[in-house]
Amino acid sequence: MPSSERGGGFVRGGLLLVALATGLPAGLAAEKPPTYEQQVLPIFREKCCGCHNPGKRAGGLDLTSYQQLQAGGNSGEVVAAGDPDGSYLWQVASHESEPVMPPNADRIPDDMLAAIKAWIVGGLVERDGAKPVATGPVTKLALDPGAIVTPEGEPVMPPRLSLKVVTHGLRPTTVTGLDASPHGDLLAVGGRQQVLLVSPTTRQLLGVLPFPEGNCKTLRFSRNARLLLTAGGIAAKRGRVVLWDVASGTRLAALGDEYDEVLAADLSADQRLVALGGAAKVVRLVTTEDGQEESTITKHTDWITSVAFSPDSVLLATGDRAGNLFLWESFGAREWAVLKGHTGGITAVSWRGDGLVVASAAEDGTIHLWDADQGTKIRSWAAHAGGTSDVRWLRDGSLVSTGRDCRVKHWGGDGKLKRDLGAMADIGVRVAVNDSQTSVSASDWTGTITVWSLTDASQQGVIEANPPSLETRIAEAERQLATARQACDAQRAKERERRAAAEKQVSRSQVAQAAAETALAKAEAQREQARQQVAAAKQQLAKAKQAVSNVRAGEGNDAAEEPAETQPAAGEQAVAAEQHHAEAVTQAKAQLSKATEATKRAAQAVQEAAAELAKATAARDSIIKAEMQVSADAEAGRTAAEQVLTRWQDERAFAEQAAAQR
Amino acid sequence: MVRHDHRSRRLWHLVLVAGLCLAGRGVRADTASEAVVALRVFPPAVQLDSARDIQRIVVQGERADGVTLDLSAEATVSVGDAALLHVEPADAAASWSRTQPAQEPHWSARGGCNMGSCHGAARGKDGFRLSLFGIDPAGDYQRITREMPGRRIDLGDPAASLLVQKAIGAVPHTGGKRFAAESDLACRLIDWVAAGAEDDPDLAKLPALTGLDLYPPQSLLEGEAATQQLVAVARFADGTDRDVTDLVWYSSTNASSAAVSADGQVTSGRRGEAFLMARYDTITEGVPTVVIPVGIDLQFPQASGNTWVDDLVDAKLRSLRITPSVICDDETFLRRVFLDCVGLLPTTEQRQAFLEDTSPDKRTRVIDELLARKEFVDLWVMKWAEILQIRSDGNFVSPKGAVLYHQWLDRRIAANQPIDQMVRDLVVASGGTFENPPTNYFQLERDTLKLTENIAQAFLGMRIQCAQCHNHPFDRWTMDDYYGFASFFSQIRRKRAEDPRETIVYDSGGGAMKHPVSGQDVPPKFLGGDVPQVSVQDRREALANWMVGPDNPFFARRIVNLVWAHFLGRGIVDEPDDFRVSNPPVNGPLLDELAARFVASGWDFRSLVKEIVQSHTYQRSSEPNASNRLDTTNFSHAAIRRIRAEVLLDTLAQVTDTTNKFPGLPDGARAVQVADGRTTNYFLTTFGRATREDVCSCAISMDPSLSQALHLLNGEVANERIRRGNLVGRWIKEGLADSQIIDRLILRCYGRKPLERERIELLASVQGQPNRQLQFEDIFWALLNAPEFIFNH
Repeated sequence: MPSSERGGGFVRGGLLLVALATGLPAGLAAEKPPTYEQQVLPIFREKCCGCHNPGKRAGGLDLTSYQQLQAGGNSGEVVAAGDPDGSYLWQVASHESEPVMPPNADRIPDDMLAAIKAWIVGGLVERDGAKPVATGPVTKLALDPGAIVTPEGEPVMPPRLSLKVVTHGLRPTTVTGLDASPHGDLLAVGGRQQVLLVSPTTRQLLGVLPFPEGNCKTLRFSRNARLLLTAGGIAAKRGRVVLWDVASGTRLAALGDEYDEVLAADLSADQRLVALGGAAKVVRLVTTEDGQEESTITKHTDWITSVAFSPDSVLLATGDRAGNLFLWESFGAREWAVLKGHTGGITAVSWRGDGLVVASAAEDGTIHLWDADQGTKIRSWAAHAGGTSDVRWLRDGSLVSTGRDCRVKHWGGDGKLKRDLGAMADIGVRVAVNDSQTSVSASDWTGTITVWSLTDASQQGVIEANPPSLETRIAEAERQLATARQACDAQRAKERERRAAAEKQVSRSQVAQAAAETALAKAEAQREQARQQVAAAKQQLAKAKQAVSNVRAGEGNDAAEEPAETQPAAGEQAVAAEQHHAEAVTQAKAQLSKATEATKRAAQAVQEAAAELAKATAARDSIIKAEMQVSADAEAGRTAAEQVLTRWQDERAFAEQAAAQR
Repeated sequence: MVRHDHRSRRLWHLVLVAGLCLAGRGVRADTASEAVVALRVFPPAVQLDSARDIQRIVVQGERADGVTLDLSAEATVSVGDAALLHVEPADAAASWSRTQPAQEPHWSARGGCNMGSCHGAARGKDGFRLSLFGIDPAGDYQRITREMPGRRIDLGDPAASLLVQKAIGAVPHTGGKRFAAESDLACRLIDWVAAGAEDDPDLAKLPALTGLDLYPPQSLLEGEAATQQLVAVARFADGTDRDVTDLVWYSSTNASSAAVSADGQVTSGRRGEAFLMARYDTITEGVPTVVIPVGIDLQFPQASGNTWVDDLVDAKLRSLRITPSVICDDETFLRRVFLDCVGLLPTTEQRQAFLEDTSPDKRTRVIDELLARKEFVDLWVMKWAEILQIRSDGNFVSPKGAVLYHQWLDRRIAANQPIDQMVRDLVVASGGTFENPPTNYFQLERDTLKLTENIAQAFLGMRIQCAQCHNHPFDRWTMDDYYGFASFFSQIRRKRAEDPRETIVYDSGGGAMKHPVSGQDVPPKFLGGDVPQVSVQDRREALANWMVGPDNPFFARRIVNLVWAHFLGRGIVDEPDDFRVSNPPVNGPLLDELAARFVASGWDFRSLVKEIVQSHTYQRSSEPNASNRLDTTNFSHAAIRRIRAEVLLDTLAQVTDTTNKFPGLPDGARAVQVADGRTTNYFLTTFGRATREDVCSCAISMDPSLSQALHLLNGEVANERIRRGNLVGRWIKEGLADSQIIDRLILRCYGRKPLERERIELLASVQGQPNRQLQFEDIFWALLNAPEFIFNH
């Protein structure tokens, strides 16, 4: 199959390798390589032939004879002379690739592995004296980053587009059309009679492209991100392909005229050809210029499920539901290679950026990598139990895929799992990698599109694949606004109420403080009065004491002078007065100490009232502050709701305007 | 339609009363026979299981002449307690949503989508596959919803789902429009998608379907465009039932006589019979319908027959308005009964004696004589040997084994051993194939599943082969039935005996039959019957007891049908070993009565034969009359049958006075007596002798073919035998006159005197011929090649 030249005379890496491999001087292989009969068969007998024997033929593979081994198993040839990395047997035996062999057991010992490897490298020699099998080119999986052409200049983004949806489903429905722009933060999502343009970063709807032809089943951005191909139609009725100019958001052309929906389509990188296929089992190559059918591929035996042009437009890969996978020359549709290996229907094909390797996904659950020049299988691995639904290359030579196990997985270019990004609600259908290669959008059967970060595997969010109509959005915004307004008003009322209550509390405290101060003054006056009374009483007592002493002195000196009967009477009177005044002093002192006590209490009450007032004042201030904040928030919410409403009203106006212009 | 009017969950068993006001009907005919003499309401009992349950009812009237009328529209139906229930006109059904949504979607069967010729084919159709008749609902669910994500159903716009669009014919569909866009089925499909197209995880927990009833049980429609509505009721294991009139798939065996619409409306067409069938899930049921022309003048002979057999046959003929043919003459009878009973032609002397006998019971006496003859045994041993597939088979059954097996059979038939005992001995047979010859049966078919199928077909008349891979499409048998029946034979083992030609057949007491879908062991289960309590040892014992037991509805019917088919040329069920729901007996009461009497007689084979051969039905002329000319199924006249290979060879030998030689048998043995099915010759093979490798009755070819005609014309058989027997030569030597020789030849070959015209023309042809012998031998040869010789009439 490999020819020395293809299409317009491209010289490619693989051809150089052929030259190198066949040009090796024979003498270089000094050591005698192991042979099947002597070294390898005993290993197989010990480790593999329990299942891979003529009776069981697990996986269709029988390792007990050289011929059977060469015939391979259900997934095609298992050994490639001189190329262990390209030999399926080596991949699974060395545990480089799933399913590892022997299953549920340790890897076979290293010395055995080394013998197998040496045998493959040595050209699969059958027995002593037999000639080695001609060695094919050694597969180089490594990607040369320089070979990737990335679009230049400013990212291609659409202008402002109408957000008016054509249809809004009862619920989301399975999305099979999904592609990310290779130059711009743009994701296209297929739907019923429309294509949604979404930002994979913000997950916001950027525009709706009407697709009146029917359901959009397949979407492809052109390699330069300038064109968008949308394909689909109405099942069992009609199929069309429509091309859009991304930067202007306008329809450029409608191509194809099928009697069933177009299931798969692609645009060549030079934008000259569109390949399309579907239930008719035929791939048509039509020119973008005039829609004329340039060539037809009729070799497929079942529905065409995937088509993809190579990055240089020279080759076209096509796959069908029966598992047939072919490479064709785009010009003239001549067969380039038959890629044999899948045992289930092909679901997706994707070209690596350098155009040297094709990845294919199939219902057999595997991903296969193919050498596009040689048409040989480089590697294959079990990716998703039950079936792989989609596979896409990243620019760095890694891949993402999804499948019937509901998971989204990120693989190295060698088929090793880098990361299982997580599970979706139902079977995975399509994946797309954003331009910055940082996130993957994946759609599942329920119509949910989930965005995962490729850097940390976090779920970034969900893209609305069934957006509501602008009317619904406006109605919803109006409802939100009404709610916000209501909340705002309610908050205002509440603020007023709480503020009044706080003020009331403050004034109540002020009154209490004044009363306390009055009481204190009164108490102090009473104390002063008591003090005066004590002083007066003391004065009286002193007087009485003086009187008593006067009477005592009079008795000693004037006893003869005064009649005896008057002198004793005056002394008794003075002593009684003294006693009376002494009691009055005691009473007055008691009054004073009571008044002093009362004054102390009143002073304390005044202090307490002051503290109460300070508290009430502080509380009032904080309430005012807090309520004002809440109110401000409510206002902000209302404003935001107003803005949302305005935005959608604006979008509606724009949509109406756009419609009027059309 | 009866509808529950009460929010309770109690069950209500109703008795419906139908009344009819005849005055209001547009009466079609003019006679008094229009008067309805009986009125029936179907279903006979209505059970409503919930407040939402409904039941359609039909009212069928019967006229004095047996013609039935669908009076559902005219009759007034009332219920005893109108507070509980009410009856609504038929068109109210449309808006009524029903219970048990889990049993949807039966649309796939109803729409015919999963038939073998459509998406039920092994590879599907146009890229879409469903399991045949929906035996794999889980797989169907996956394929419909997820095989091609985004194509077959549209969750966002359910009505736009391709599944719906195709079925209603809105987009091109190879299978065409299956149901209308506004039909109940389409609505249900759309609703199902709208609700999220969810699977029903509880499907397995639902009560199993146990039966299907189709009403009315029979109809006799008069004229074209008469109608009769059918009502189908499914019964479930939990005792509930459901009106499935609008969910079953209807079909008619004879749509030109009685066509049935998708809604179960029967419309009459041309005169004839049809069996109308309804399939729901795994069960098919059917009812017979007869269509007769308007105003037929039936001239039915009084007492056309003389036995109960004739009564039952005549009853059917009367309902079909067919007059049977007259009784055949004595010559025809004698030739027929000789060929059928002993496989020989009556000799000239036997004919003469019979014709001269004037006693009224002479036919009965001849029958008795024939049944007592060894040749009767030989003939029936051959018939049974075909069923038991007696033959040698390479390394597995030696010729000796085959001969022993044949001897075993011969002794039993000769002794008139009750058939049930004979079959029982065979089914349970264990031991060496020489020591206990019926064990050869298990040696001749060593594949358990094939053996299962053979036993079912040979002894029960059931072709259950279909159910090996999928539920039988036109019968009641499911895969569970099939593997349950096969389980009876799963423990049979074989080992070498001392004599290397002998094998010992025994039950190992271990080993189980695995269900190919579930992978589980299947316990033994009788076909359509119970799961017996079997210990490991006696599986075949249990089976044999059931097979010949009183509860088995199949065995006796199968045997009597086989015998009937031999004598009447066509079974009451045809083919005689193809009993199935969709292939009902043409005369059920006759089959039932024959079987009942056969069992009551102690499985007496000869008495069964006598009952049949004695009847006028057997003895009718093959000459049809105006009314029965087109009838080939109801035994209104004798069938003209090609004589089967062995008997034809024997009669050829008989009339040419020659002998046959077969390997292992003495010279002069008859072809009928050959023990080994492998022994044959060119003549026998050409005339369709069974190789006995296949149990099917269709393996015996009775069809005439060009090679047969050429072989008789040009082959060595006729010419060579005529010369070898040298009858003509002997007669010429005896000095017989030309006309005497012609008489003898015709008598010998046809059992009758030549017609006057035959005699004149044959005489003319020999007149003046130089070689008289050659000329008569040419005539002999011509007689042997004429249909009158090759056919039993």
